Amino acid sequence: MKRYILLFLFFYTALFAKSNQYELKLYTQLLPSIFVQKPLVVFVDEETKVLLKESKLFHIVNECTQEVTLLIGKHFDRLSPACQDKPQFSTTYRSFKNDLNSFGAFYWRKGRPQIRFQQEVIDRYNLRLPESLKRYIR
Amino acid sequence: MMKRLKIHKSSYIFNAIATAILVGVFGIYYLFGQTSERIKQENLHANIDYIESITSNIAQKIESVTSGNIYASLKSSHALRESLEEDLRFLVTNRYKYIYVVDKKSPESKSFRFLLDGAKNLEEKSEFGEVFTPLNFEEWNSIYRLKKPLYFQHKEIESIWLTYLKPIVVDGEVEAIIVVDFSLEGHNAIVASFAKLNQSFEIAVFFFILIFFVIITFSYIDNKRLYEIESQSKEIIAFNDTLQAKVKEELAKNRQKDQQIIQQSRLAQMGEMVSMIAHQWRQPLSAISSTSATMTLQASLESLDYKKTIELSNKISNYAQHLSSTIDDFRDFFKPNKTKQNTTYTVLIESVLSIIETSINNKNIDIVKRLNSDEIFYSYPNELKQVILNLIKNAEDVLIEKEVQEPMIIIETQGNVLKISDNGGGIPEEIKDKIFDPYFSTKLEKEGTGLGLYMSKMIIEEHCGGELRVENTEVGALFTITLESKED
Repeated sequence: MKRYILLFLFFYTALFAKSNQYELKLYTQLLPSIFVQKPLVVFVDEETKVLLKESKLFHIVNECTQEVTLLIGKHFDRLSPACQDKPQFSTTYRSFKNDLNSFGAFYWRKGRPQIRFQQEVIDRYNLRLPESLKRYIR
Repeated sequence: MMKRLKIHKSSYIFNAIATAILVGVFGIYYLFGQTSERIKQENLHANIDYIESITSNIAQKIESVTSGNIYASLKSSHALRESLEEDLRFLVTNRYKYIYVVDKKSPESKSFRFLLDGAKNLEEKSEFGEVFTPLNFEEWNSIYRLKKPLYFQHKEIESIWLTYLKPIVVDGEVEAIIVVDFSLEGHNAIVASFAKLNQSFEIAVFFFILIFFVIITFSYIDNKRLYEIESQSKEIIAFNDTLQAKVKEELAKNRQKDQQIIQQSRLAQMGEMVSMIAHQWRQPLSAISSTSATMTLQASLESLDYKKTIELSNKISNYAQHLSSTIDDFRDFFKPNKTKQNTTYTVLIESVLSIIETSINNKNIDIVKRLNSDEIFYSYPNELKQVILNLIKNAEDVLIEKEVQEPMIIIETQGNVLKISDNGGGIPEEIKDKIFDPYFSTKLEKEGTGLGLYMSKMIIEEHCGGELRVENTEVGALFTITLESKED
């Protein structure tokens, strides 16, 4: 059931591509299905903060500390040592490809939404990816 | 139960025009829809044809600079990628938003990978080998089977209207796909123009529908009005018919009444005439009696010889002839003329006087004749004689009634005018206007019917086309008859 919900959400979001509301919905459905903690304590870049601040599922912190569950964004310059090994959900292909802790990404390419997951990183963090999302593993 | 309204021809015409306008407008609207759709399709095909030629050139270029395995060739030469991407960048415009080349890692792959990207913006530019999953993957994948260009329009992707896929086929296998994403902007401009045009058309159609209903309403009101007018007209016609019938009926009654009046008048005149004939006959009857007595006496004295007998017999015969002539005159006088005849005032007057002159003379009334007219009239002589007789008799009655000294009746003719006057003192002014009215009489009840002058005026003015008027002279009344002379 969860699979269909996610698929539905994905295409529903795709229908209204780049619409922030639906992008937010995708995040709120996708990430809680991978992480069990609620609310998810996240450290995000400025661009993503604008998007996620309206959601109660995410607890956005201004400093990356040990309590942070994951990072969301495209680039983080100077991370505190406690935060350097946290899993990251990227918002660009470049970040997804280059950041070693990036386990997944959602970004736009040629006007089309792209979801990617990195099996190796998922395994490293012992994350459980729902079946419906496994098709997006690179 | 509702009364069904009859539809007039004008309403049919109105309704037909309104319906024709409405059908015409809908027809034009339908044609506009068809035409705009055709223009959109032609625009699409024009774009496809153009991009077909461009992508063919790109494919040829890629084929010419790579050695069969495009992926391997491009992977091995960064410079070659740069060069080809430079070519693609030149083609990217507002109309062609994204131009890039992809392939599949293996036939089973559920995604594509970028080989070349013509993006100008570094943020938008994909990397060589970057995985790419289009939303309609299966449609894209079908190009490996079809091995020919295909395109599909989008609704789910913002800013892209249409995607064109051109396969690069090497040795019968699809080695790569050139992808061109058409910007929505150019297409939107056309769509927006058509939308505006369509909106204007819809407003026009709305107004035409409004006009249609206005015409229909007007037609209905007009039809109702015509129906009411027609109903009223029918009522008026029916009323008119009744009125005409009533008028005819009244006319018939009046005619009957006139006939009765004429008959009464004739009877009255006949009574007078009998009296006059009695006067006329008295002298010849007396002469016959006297001649007969002379014959009897002379026969008794045996002095009646053959010659005397013949002489006296001739006298009696002449008197009898005179009596017979008087009867003929009397009969002719009361026989109404059915056809017009030529006559003169002199003939008419002499004829009347032959009947009444003796009677009048016996009453010591002088009859003065000044007959100076030779005019010939084409009219009804007997009717005219009745009028002359009536006027003379009226004068006689007045002269006797007023016991006028030296009573006199003057009969004058000049041209087409006949004047009969007396010296009886004239008609009182207060009754002068009424003397031609029926049943109006100044005579004693047993003597006057009140129809004589009425009949006279009717005969002169309505039958004979002339004029009868009255005026007073210094000594009495003057009646003037004016008839129209016979045209040559």
